[in-house]
Amino acid sequence: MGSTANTAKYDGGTSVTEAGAASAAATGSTGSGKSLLNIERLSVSFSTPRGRVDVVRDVSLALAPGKALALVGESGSGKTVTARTLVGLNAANARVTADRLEVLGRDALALSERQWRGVRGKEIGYVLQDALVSLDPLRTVGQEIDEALGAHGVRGKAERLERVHQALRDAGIPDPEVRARQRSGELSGGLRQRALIAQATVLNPQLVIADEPTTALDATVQAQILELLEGLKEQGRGLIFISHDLAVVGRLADEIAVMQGGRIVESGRASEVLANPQHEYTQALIDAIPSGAAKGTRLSAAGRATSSSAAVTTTANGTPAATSAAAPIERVRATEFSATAPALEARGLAKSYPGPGGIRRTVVHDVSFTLERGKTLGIVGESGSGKSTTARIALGLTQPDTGTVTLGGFAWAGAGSETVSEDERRRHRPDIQLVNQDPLSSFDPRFSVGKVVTDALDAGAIGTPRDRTTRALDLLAQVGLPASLFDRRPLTLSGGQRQRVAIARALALQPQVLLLDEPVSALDVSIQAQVLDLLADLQDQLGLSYLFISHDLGVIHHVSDHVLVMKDGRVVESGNADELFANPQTDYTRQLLAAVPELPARA
Amino acid sequence: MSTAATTSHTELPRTTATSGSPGQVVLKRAAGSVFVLWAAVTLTFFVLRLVPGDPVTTILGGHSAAPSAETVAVVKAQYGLDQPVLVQYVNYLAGVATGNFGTSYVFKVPVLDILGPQILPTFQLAGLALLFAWAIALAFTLLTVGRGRLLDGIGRGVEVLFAALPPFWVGIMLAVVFAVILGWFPVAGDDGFKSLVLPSLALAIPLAGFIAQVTRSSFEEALAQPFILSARARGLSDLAVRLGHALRHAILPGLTLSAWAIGSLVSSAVVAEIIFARPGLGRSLVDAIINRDLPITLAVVFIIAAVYIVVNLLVDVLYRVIDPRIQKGAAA
Repeated sequence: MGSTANTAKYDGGTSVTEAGAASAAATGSTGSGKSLLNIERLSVSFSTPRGRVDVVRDVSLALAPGKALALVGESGSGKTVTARTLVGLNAANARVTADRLEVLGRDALALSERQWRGVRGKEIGYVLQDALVSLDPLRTVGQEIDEALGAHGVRGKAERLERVHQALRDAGIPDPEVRARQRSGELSGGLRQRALIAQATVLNPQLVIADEPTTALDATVQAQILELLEGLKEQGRGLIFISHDLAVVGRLADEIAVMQGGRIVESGRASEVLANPQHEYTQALIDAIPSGAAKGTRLSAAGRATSSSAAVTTTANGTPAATSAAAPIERVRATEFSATAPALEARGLAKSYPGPGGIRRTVVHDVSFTLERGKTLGIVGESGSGKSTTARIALGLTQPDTGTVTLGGFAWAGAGSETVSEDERRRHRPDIQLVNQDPLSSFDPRFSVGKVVTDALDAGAIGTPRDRTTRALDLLAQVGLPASLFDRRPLTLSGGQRQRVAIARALALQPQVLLLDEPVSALDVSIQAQVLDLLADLQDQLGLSYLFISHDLGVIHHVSDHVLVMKDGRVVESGNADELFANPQTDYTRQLLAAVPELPARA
Repeated sequence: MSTAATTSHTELPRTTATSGSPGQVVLKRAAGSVFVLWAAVTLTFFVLRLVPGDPVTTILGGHSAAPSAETVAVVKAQYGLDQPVLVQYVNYLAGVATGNFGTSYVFKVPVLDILGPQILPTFQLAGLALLFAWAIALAFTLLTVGRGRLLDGIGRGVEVLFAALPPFWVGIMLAVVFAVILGWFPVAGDDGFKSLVLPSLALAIPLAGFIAQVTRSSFEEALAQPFILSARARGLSDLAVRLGHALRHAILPGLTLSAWAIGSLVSSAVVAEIIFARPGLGRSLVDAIINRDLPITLAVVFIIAAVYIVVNLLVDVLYRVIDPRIQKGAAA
């Protein structure tokens, strides 16, 4: 390790000497610190039982200190594999070839596992996506950071402890002495992500690789993490980050490389790529961002091709679906869903739970809203804002402490003397259906796709089993899935296809209201665009009313007619979507909007 | 196995560990222990009364003895057998509460005088067996999991084989190979550590198969978690990651299994004790059941129940040490 010591900079006045300039000069054969990365025609393939699979093909990259390079693309485009190659952590069955693979001036192809260990953590910091699972849940974050120091020969208990605290402080964590003794599960999402960054940067690596560092974070937290990463860049480090979200990329990247199917389809200066995309795939990615696009505009390329009024008969990959739009089946249930009353109306909802120390924690406080028929009401707020509890009350699954809910004029839920029993509700249950964030976990893993949908039809006991199979196929067609998926397991489907199955299931009993709880949050931007287009089409065709919950303001802006902004269990602002976004009335809404990364205007 | 439970590492683990603060746990456990002991003794007491045969016959030396009516009456009075069953039961409970387990029908001496010397050899045997079982299971896990398809397959196969082997057969094979042919260990007897090795291995090998199957799957799951990749990216070696991160996660389910295992080891020790001609509780139990020596049978049942309780308590504490989330989770 000693002979290959590279330019390592230590602040904090520790006993480690400034070895930077001297050793950089000593390793004269290296890129003399000018270039952190110099990659030409990198290819990575995996050997599988069914033969070799090429995951990365002919990728060429370069990166200078103090610059940020963004790898952009959908899941499976080879971004992550490319990044892992740079720290030598690909799976055992991977084969890496390249004309040139220089990382920090070294030939990465020639590094032994032992040499790699000296590089990882010390010269290259690697930050994974979800800190909850990327930090050992059984160990404190302090232990995790300390481990990096120990692995690279930093001795002295007191010095190590001080550096752990310093790393946490540098990552913007208040009270590092306290936080260092907590485990990842005890920290909030933002602190957790900062701790993850701290453990990757404690040794001041020259190059930091961040794989989807802000995905799944709330907008304001996301903005803070981006700021932190920007700070790393300003300290002169190189930054490679991976994202499927071009809006995030626009804020941070100097260079962008757009990947599709393992290849770089477009690369260049960030401002140019975003303002004037040349490749159609880049254009599609940019168009898929919902925030700027007004309600009614198509987001996905496939969606734009077909007119919005026509039945959606294209599948996710663009091939025609098996059958035409579903033939309407007579509603067997006799429900009195009023044609004049609002689809869903809540008045003065409140809910509290007993917390530690006998203090009741109010999670929903005086929430009222009206969802008009055929319209979309968006509820936006960060985690812990009470969105989900409000949703559960709206579904009649959680009993409110006070307040009432009516569903199409029918008393649906209430407190005290207005309590509605589940027996009374059951008859109306088909009218309101749920689609949630993670469709896979809402499916019985033993069920096939067809069974998932027919099971919902069985619950309504409509027609004969044969009718239900026909109807299930119609429903799949309606959400743009081919009949060939009928016998597949949900596990084998893509994220977008799974969400379509969940929507088909929700439509099975011909509901009036769909409660969409973060339905696109786990999807890539382009898949998200397709699902949002599908939901818009279904609303047009079936006159559905949507209660749409999301932490993503861009999505909420795009889908909603009316918006409810929630914070700490209260409604801080509500109103017409366009007005609210154009002219927010409260500080909190303004703050939320400011945190949303936006793209520069297209040329 | 790896496709299921992808979120298991982020959620609180499913466990038999009691929730609550340490003080609450001790209280809950103490109350539970008394109940379990009482239930075990009561159940055994009444079930043994249902076994055909008169205890007096046992006391007087079996069927060949033809005692006179007076002798029978005297003996009955001496052992309290002339009283109603319920009174006998209450008297017995009162005795147990004060540490008096009665007098053996066969040996005519206090039960504890007979069982006392048997307790330690059995605990040594069971303890060493558990130690061996864990050593074998962890060796398999660390050496074969995630080391390529061949080693993985070998590990898996050997574990299934071990788990399927009956202890008596393992005991005989070990005795033949290592004692009779190679002469490395004594064939039988109770003569220090050397004579403990083979009998405890006989018990440990099948148990190791079970434990290893559990630790293997949780080790596999842990290795696939992102925090393992994070640790590798910090510059840790493969071995350090396995020992420092994955192993801790893999031990947890095996630990729960061990609580059950040690209790059952004490009662199944009889196989090893008979094959290797060792003294021990298991042997005493079998002899007592065959001879209808009720007080000894009851006392052994009591001891085994007590062992279960103590071991479960220990496992509970260990679980907290390895997985500190339990306490926090219960408090939140």
